[in-house]
Amino acid sequence: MSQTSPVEILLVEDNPHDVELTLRALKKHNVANRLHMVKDGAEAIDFLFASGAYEDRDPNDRPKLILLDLKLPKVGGLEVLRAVKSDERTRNIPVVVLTSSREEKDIVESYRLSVNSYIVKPVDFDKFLNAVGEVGLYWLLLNVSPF
Amino acid sequence: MSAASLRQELEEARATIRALHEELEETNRGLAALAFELEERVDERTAELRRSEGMLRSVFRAAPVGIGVVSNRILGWTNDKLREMTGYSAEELEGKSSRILYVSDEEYERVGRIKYAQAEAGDVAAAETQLLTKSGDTVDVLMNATATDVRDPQASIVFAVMDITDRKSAEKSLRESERRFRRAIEYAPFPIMIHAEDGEVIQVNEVWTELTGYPAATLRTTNEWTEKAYRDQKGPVRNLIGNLYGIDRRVREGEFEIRTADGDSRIWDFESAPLGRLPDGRRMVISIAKDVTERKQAEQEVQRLNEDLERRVDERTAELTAANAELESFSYSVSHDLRAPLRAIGGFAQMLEEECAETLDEEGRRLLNVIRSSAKDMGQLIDDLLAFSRLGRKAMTFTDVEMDKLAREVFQQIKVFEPERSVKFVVHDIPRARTDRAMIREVLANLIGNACKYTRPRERAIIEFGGRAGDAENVYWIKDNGVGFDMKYAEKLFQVFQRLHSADEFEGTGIGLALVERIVKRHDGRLWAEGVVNQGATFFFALPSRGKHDESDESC
Repeated sequence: MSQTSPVEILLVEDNPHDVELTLRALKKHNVANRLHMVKDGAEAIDFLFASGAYEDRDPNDRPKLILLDLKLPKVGGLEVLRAVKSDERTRNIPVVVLTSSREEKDIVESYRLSVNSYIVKPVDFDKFLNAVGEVGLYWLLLNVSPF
Repeated sequence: MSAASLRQELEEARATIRALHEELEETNRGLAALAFELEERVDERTAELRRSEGMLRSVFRAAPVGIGVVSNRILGWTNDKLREMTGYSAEELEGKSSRILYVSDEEYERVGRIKYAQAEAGDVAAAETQLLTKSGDTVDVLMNATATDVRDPQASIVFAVMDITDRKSAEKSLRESERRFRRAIEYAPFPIMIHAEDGEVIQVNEVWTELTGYPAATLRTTNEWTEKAYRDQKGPVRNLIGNLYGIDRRVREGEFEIRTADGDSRIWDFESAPLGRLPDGRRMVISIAKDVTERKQAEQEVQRLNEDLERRVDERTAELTAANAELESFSYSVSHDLRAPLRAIGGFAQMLEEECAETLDEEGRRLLNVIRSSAKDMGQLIDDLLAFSRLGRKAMTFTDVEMDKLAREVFQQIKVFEPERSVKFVVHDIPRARTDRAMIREVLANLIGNACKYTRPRERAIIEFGGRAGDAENVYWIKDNGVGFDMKYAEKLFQVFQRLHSADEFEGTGIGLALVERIVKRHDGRLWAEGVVNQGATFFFALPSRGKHDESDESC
């Protein structure tokens, strides 16, 4: 496992406090090197498919991990997940849903859309730190991706 | 003239006289013989007549009918039978006007007219009348009369009277019987029609005509009836009626919609039965109907009400579904939006503690701790509330659950959090339960968790899990030797947010037992508790023994 390839995480999260907590958790585990943050689902799709405000981006420059909240303004997390998983170019990007929702239908629907992990954000900060940190570690450092 | 010629003439005259005399003698002899013969024949005839008259008298006397002779309406000879019938003697009758045998002048004249009219025509007159007896009684008779001389019928009439009292009374009782029968039909509380195979309506009763509004006079044939009552539909009904005359027992034709004179429609339920034959051989059928219009309407009303009820149930269900959906989205919001700020409170408090550790004193750290633990408690509260609200919507899956195994599993998981404590968990011989495994696990987790929690002050905590199978339900119980509770608060135990201990004595959100109760109720079961302060508590729950359950053969 080499650390030479740049780590890139797309964090889709509208709550600034959760963003800060997530960043802190990732930093603690040294996996927040190259992180891009978007505040809603529409922006996430623009980023991933190099459209709209991200027109100039290289669409082949794909993130290694998407951390996705479900309850998002404009376009919801499940919509983003569907878009990512139904497109040839983005299908292989691991998507981890990081949400407050423990609702069964969200969990079931996420897995139906081929989510890679579904994490319920713990209220307890220590647990939160661990959860987010471990997710980052796992998908970026331990998991062997096809690209 | 000469003497000789005179003599000769005399001789000749003498000879003629002699001859005449002889002839006369001869004639006399003949006459005498004839007279004799005549006399003989008269005697013969007289004897014959006597015999004939004697026979006639014997016949008249022996006749079982009263016989008499009337001349110019005056009674003459009468026979014994007539006298017996009237109570008069021969002397009392002979020479009297025949009027005395009649009940009234009118009847006397009426019968007289019939008698003489027929007698003049040379016929035998016949009339039914009544004889008035001497004692004033009346006798029903059939009178026959005939004139002895057609040329003068008034002169002599022979009459015969036959006692027809028995026939009359038989006829009368027959008539009465028939009248009763007709009345029974007429006033029966059901519509009834008697009809013959050629379509003639023999009788149609009051209820029939009243309910339909068609007078009996307009229902002379079954075709008239079907025309009015069935209109376009009469064809099949006529066929049906036509087939009735061959039946040999009561048949039920079923319900028919008939139209009344007012244009209303009524439902009649028909039954028919054979009624024998008329004197002319036509077969008759009696058809009886039951007017079931009101019953039908009531049935329709019930059906309408049922449909209405179903519709309302559907509406309510839809409303409930909508309310549930709303609740779901509400709890979704709660789960997401309420937790986010809590996470921030806790997380930022910790960040503050970590980053400003040097500048914070003991009190500052304590305050931050309070903030963090409060946020954590509230998080727990939200999770519990969500579990509670989710429960009502969750579909149940019933399986046979080995309660003892499940309880041990649950206990092991709870024990992990307090490994330093000494808690003895005793599981008795317990029947299996036909239940939703996930839900009953929640019940056990809460009850065993509570038992662990409230035995915390005990050095040696003992928790027992027992149960027994019953016909209708299985009862399970979890008993501890903890702090117990005062029975006067027993009913508060299962209410949401109700707590019998303060948070610094025992932590908790006040939702656990409410959740337990909700699960047990969803199983159609019962839940209750017994407790004594400082001596422990026992929580019972009973689950219906659905289908067959096996006794657990494991014991602890």
